[in-house]
Amino acid sequence: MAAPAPAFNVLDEMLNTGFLVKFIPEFKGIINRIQYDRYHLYPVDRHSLRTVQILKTLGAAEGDSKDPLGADLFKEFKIRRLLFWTALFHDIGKGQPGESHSKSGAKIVGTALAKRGFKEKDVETVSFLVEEHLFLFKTATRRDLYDEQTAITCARRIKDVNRLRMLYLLTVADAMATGPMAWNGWTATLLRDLFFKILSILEKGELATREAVETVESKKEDILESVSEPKARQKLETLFNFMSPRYLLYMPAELILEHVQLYNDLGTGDFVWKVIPTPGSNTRTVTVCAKDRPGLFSKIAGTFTLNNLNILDAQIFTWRNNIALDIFEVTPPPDQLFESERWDRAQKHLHDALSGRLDLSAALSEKMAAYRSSGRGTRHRPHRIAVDNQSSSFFTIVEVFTYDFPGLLYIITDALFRCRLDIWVAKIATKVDQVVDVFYVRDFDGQKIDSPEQVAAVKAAIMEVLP
Amino acid sequence: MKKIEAIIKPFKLDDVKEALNEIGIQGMTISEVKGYGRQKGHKEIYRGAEYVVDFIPKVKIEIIVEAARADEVVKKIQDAANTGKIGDGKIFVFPVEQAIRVRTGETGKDAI
Repeated sequence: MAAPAPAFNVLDEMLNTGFLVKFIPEFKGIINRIQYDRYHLYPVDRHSLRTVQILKTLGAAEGDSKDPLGADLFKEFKIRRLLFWTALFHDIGKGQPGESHSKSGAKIVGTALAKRGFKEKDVETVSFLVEEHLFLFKTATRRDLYDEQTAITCARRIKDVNRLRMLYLLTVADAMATGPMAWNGWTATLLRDLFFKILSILEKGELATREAVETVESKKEDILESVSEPKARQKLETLFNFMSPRYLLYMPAELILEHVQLYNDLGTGDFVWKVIPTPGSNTRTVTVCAKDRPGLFSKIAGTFTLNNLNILDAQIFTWRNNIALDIFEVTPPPDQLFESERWDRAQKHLHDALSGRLDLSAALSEKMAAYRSSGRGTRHRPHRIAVDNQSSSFFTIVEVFTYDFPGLLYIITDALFRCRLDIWVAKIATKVDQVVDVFYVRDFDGQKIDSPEQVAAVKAAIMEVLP
Repeated sequence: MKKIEAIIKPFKLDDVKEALNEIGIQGMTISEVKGYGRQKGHKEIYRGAEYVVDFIPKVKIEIIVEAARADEVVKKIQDAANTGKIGDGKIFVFPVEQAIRVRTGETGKDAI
């Protein structure tokens, strides 16, 4: 079967003479099994053989019925035996009554290959591919490909790049062997798009590793267990679906519970926040839960600066129900005697800034001018701005390396806002006086900024506001 | 009678069909179409080869309804297809001069 094209006719002849069924008894259930819809042009047995044939010719990419990506991927496989057996068996479950043919097919092929002495790892791979042979196609046509969670879910299920490549090849060959309604330029585009997004997560992400999956699952379980009331538990489960993948991965379980409480307090308001002394330090941890909108982060940063609170660290998360969950570590207010009044005042400032009653830029300009004239800001210190469009398929990553001064975060985030950029994730860190700010952004239309002009404009805008 | 044409994101098709079924609309024509607009296509590089996608796959739904129902149907489609992000699509409403059922020859609203 793995020999070049003429061998396909051998398979065909084997089928016609009944020899194939003797050789591979599992085939009996799908001989001449007609698929009664306009979608499948061939009965199951012929379709399976066609899938094998098409797979073999995938490497020779000519004509527009071929798939250039499929050709490239196919050529990467030196040993193609597993691919062909998978293709031959992928619909074998269609002869079985009852449960999904993917699941039953996986069981049949597992037994069949084990019987024939295949290695356990290979049997597992083929069983997986048969069980999931519809997964990529279904996801590509039925899920939002611009939502990072879609690619992450796929990456977690497929688990490694090799299986992804094999699954893609099987999907393409299967669709081509089904008929023109299954494989055309339209479906090809969706499938390719999904492939690249999953590949990116698998190759670069820490979001899809086995540890990541286990961590998140056990965290969710622990949290659910600590909540006894069934209605509350249900609400929690719904909320889990909205929490972003990074948030669930990085946030400790106790904090997640606290944040849920904060979220419940939010109601229809603009924002709520909670200020506590940072454990083990004399700084303050401010957790903000707000309705997300462009410019939110810069308004919070500006409000802190206005109240003489220096931001040391920040973590920004955006949930999929448009809620921003931002955690800041700030220096305590200069006079700690009237601290709670200070925080009340800061809270009012933020409400005013969000409703447009307070012009933060104007209010801050005096402060910033005073700081500059004190001399520290005028000494030239090197800055570096990096714009990365490779590491994520979903966000442009802007990194700013510079030296700290009061109001720095405000002016950077304000510059990003004026470039019409929305911040989805941010990680701010300060070490002594050096700052590394990482922002995951998209423009207001929800797209990455990957044209050279846009990238240059962002760099220039930030450079301009740095001293 | 009116013809309502909606261009939507592919993964929203089931939601829109369900929403229309809820208000008693069962018949529609669905096509897979290619969209060009503000939502740009993009290119990927794999092993040095460039894969350019210059169109965005969309789904087109066409429905004929009595004029009085047009607004209701448009709203249903919009609510179901909306994600708030770029590329959600567009809905157009056209006047229909005549409708004929091929099997029986019925015309007008008996044909839809």
